[in-house]
Amino acid sequence: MEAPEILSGGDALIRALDDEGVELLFGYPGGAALHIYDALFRQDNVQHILVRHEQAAAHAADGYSRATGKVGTVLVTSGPGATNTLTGIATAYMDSIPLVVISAQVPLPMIGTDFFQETDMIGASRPMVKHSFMVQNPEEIPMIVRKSFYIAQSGRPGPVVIDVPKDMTAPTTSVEYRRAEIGNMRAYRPSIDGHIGQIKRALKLINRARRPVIYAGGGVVQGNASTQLSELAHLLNAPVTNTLMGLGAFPGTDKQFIGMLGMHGHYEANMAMHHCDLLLAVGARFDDRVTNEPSKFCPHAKKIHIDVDTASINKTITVDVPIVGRADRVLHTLLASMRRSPLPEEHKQYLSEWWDKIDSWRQEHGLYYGQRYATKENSIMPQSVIQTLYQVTDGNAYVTSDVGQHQMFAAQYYKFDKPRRWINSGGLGTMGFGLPAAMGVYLGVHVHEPDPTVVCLTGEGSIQMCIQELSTCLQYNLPIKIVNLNNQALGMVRQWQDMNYGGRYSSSLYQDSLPDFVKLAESYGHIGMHVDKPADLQNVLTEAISIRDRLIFVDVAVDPHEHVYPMLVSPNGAMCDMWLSKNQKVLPDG
Amino acid sequence: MADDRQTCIIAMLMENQPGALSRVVGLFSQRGYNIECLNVAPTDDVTLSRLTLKTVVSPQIALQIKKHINRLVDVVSVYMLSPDASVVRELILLKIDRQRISQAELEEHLRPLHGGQIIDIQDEVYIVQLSGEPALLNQFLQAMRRNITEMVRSGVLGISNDIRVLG
Repeated sequence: MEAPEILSGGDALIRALDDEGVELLFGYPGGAALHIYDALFRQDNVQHILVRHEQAAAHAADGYSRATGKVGTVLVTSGPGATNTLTGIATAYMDSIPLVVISAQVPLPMIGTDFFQETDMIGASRPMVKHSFMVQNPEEIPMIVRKSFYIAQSGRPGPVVIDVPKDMTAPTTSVEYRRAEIGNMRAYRPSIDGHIGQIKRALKLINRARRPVIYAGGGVVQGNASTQLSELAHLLNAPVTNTLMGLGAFPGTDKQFIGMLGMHGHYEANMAMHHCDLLLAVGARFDDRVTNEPSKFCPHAKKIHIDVDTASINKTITVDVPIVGRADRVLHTLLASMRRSPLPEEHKQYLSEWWDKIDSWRQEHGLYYGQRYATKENSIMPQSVIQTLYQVTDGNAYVTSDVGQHQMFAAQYYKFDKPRRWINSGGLGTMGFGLPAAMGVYLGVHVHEPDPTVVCLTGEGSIQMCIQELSTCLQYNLPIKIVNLNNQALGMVRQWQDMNYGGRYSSSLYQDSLPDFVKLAESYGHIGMHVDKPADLQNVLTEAISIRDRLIFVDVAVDPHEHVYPMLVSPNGAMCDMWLSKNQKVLPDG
Repeated sequence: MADDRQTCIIAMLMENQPGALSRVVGLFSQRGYNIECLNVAPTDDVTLSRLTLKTVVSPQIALQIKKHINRLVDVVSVYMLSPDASVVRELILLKIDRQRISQAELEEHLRPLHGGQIIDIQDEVYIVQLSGEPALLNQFLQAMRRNITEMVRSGVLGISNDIRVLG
């Protein structure tokens, strides 16, 4: 074995990150982190991106991870630096995104004395991390970093916090540095391959199915199982619906794709879910936005659930065949078995009847099979912005989104053909995620894919939650295209107030207090554009996308009264109970 | 909805690390479950702690809790102690007022409890140690309730009585 190098704790920390392949560190310096920042300065391998708010560091690392599949890494100081990352950590936790967040801490002997900028980061972050470590001895740094990266990305991925007291990284500390070996972690052994007996049981159900639906979620994206999923779907000729987190896991333009499901899912997807006799859930967690009332969920279906996390199985919906393992590995085994044993004769006939039914739903109310929203002569409809954007980007952009109506319109109308192209906060629903996430996406992607188109779809509510990052974008020259669906209100809140609160718009309106977004973008050194006429929309978006080397902020005045449809009737509704417009509801049982 | 909650005793081995216990306890509060009692101590292998925890939940929730505990990175292994295949014991220390009961009478009450004894006698109080099956101990406590001035309970300790070994 090579003789170890003697490094200070701070140098050892950065070196350990380098050894994990970290290219980018998103962060913000401060007192307790200064030794670490000094170590960063004295090397060239790990590049630091200085954000304007620590929340944005976590979201940027998160976006980086979602687009590249690598672990996102964050470095912040103690106290407010650490607590500001919590929203970003919780966002990553809910969507199972691997992050390593290094928070500096006050010196070990000072912990508990209410020292300047002290906060219990381990305690504060505990409910929203996969795991956390506090460095108690500089010698532990190589092993803690190694384990953190391993834990963050294995099993069900998630964020890991490393809290590092300042004295652990002091120049006077010395660590015998060599890359740590993880060895045997007796308490952490994630399941990888599914149980073969369970896979055989699943196969029996699949062979017997007349009306199968594949319901695929973020686990397929995170588990890099899109290829296997497509092969399975095509072998079975089964319809595929993706969750909000799973969009792109199965190509949006494939004829077997029946759209997103759930609260604002496509009509044909929700109808197919309700009427199917076999549900094959892959890397999806039966979220409440999907199932609607659990007791009315998929009443006719046998259910198979493939998930890497045992705790996600039978949590809200009881299934017939659970299979715990990584989506790619389980599907690989399932496919191998299917290739050996051909589907029964009747399968073709059953599926042909099932597709006839699905096609009739598509023709009735499918968003891709007709104009499903009313257009107005003088008002840009938000749906048309997404459709136009899809057109002018050839469906090939990386699209990050914030949270609200624009997010749902994007999920409904932008047909993602590849995984890791649709980057949004699905589980936590974090407004302010979109812009910093887009920074991480661009920085992660452009290294290997020159000149990528990265669009941040947002609304005038969400964008103001991390607007300060326009400054970061200038510093690092990130030519993101921000498309702001400006309806001058918190659109989704207002939609609910329209539907459930008699149109009482409690605190959802801005009352003419919005900034001039064009000037705002310009003051940050970017290009701002404004469009409010339907006839100009295509030209403006085309121009914005055509300018490759600048950040463009396109402020689109959209119709202020539009709602997102379909919308599941809740509470107490089944998945087939949907509003299709302000005054059209699906009758019970379709 | 019928209340199908039942007492559920969970035994686990976890890394003897700072923060490990708080993650287990935190899991219960985060997911809205209650802990009735809990005890934890290092095992003969000092890198491991063994924890026994009692909660009252429906069988479905119990299963879910077990899965969540298993998912904690510090937890090495976990099992549920089934009532008919495990031994569950508790230790109680009591202070009993000497003015209210004679030693002879107290000893009479303690006799059916094999693990019950007076371990200290001071001017004003007896210190009594009880150990045994919680239900039996509760009967004694009920009978003595007027004489007890202070009490401390360990919470349950449990071990399965089959061949399985937590480890």
